Amino acid sequence: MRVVIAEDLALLREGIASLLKDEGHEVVAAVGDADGLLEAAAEFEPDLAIVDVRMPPTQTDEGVRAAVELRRRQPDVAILILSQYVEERYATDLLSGGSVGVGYLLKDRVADVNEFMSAARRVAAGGTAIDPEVVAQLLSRRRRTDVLDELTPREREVLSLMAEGHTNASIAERLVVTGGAVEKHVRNVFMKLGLPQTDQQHRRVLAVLTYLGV
Amino acid sequence: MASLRPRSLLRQAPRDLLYVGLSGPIGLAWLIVIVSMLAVGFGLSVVIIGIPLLVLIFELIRLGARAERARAGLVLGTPIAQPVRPRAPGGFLRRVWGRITDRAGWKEIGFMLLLATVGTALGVIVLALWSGAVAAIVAPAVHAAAPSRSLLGRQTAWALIGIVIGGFVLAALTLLVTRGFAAGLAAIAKWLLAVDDRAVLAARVDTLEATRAAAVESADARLRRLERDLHDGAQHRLSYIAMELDRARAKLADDPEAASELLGRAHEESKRAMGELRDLVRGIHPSVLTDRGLDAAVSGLAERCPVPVDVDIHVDPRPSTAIETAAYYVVAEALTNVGKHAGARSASVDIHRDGSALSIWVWDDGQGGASRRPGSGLEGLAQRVEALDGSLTVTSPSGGPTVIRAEIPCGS
Repeated sequence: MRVVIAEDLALLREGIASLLKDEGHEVVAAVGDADGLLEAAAEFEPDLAIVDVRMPPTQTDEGVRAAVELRRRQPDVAILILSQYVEERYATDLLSGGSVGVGYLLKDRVADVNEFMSAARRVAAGGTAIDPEVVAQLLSRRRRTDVLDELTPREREVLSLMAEGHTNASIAERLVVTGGAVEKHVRNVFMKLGLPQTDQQHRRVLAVLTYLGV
Repeated sequence: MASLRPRSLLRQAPRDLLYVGLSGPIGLAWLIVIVSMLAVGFGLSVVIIGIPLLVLIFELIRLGARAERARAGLVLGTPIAQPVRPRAPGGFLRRVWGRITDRAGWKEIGFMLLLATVGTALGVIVLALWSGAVAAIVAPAVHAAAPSRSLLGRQTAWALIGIVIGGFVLAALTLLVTRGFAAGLAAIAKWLLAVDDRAVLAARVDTLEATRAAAVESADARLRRLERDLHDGAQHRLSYIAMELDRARAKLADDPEAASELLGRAHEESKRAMGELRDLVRGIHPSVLTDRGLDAAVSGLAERCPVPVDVDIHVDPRPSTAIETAAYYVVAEALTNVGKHAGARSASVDIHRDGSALSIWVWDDGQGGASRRPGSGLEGLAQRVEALDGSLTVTSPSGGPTVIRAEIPCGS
């Protein structure tokens, strides 16, 4: 895939670029600020933009704002946001335009190369990747309403993985169970939460995230 | 102030009369209040009743002094400016002590005692003089209606003319006397009740010195804690990682399996170091607070708290960064305590801005027992809030619930 990286810290920018190149992807541009990102995206029309939340000039949340703007201008470009901290507010902003081709991960996830690359591929392919910590926060908030208490521990694990954006196959692999077992858990989760069943991956993610209150 | 020229004297006369005349009943009322309260205080118990009564008298006198400053405007042209008293930090007894050592307060008491005695007398004298003058001037009218055998009825026409002239002379004299009394009393009021700028500034400097020292102290304490956390955490993890990496490099050629294991350990350790650094950096200053303000930042805190937290925040417009940060840390510290010690099942946070202050309220249903011990996190927070002219109170009886309240003035 063709990738644009927007990250102002040179070391990390080079690191991510090397990582992508090692995996055989093409880094068409590596920029250090939000304007650079929008220009590079317009010029190269990449498959994926990897964007740091905090960039010059204000070092606050330019990355999120730029990503929302990029989504408006070029809806086809998948966006993976890297954030130093999990902030639900950023995730909410990002997902307000839908969950197709959207990722929000802690920056530290780059330390697990395989996980990181699989999330990047998923997002580039139109999927979703939400950091487990964001999902954990959402779940802990929802827990107060007691509805999630009806889920079995396994079903809750499945719910978390669905919210992170994993497919049935990926969930099965992680939990070391069969695809059929995962399908059964998914059906139960949707039934207990009263959500409409759907086979479409991004609709499913959106339904779960909406249920969790993003 | 009116001069002694007849015209201005006449123009000012009603206000002078109102001022001095009313000093009579007002002074008398204060005399009764002060004497009866002192009698009650000494008559019952000096210790148990005495101190609250003293506080009550101080408060009443303070109110009375406010009224007198306004009333003096009748004579002085403009009222005497009311003092602005910042609320003294500390508990009840410290505030009482502050009141006892407040010179301006004693001057107020001095004036009110003067008003209760001399003021009453002046009022009575002026009212009596005016009554006499008016009675003499209207004597002929009364004479017509009076029975011929009464004292007034027996007077001849010449005598009546004499009485009226005498009445006018008395009125003129009374005018001067009233003027003198009014000017004198108002001058004393100004002397005793006017704000002593130097005393106010001196008190302000004292407060600033104390809160500044505390703020520096709490910043130092924070730095020391940070140094310790870095030293015990990320720093030693990084040393370990460097060591393991070097060992892996040495083994790479001969024993690739061992090298791989060392690399794996270094990798795990580096992730732990990252996590620790992330928590530390967020503790220093949460970037979402700068980006999105208190609502987003405090909601984030509430979500990370292991106990369900109700959050209600109305802060518009945004206060300054220093105030936002202090408010954030009040909530952060309170919720950390809730998560760690309180054994609480639920908590709530309410932050709102009304008028010129930001008020922060954190409640939990835990077992209580939180306090502002010296060196505690709460004491550090209180110092931070006081450095912004705010106040922080902790109510946490054993058995709970715990309520932490902070008020920070933030202009208008």
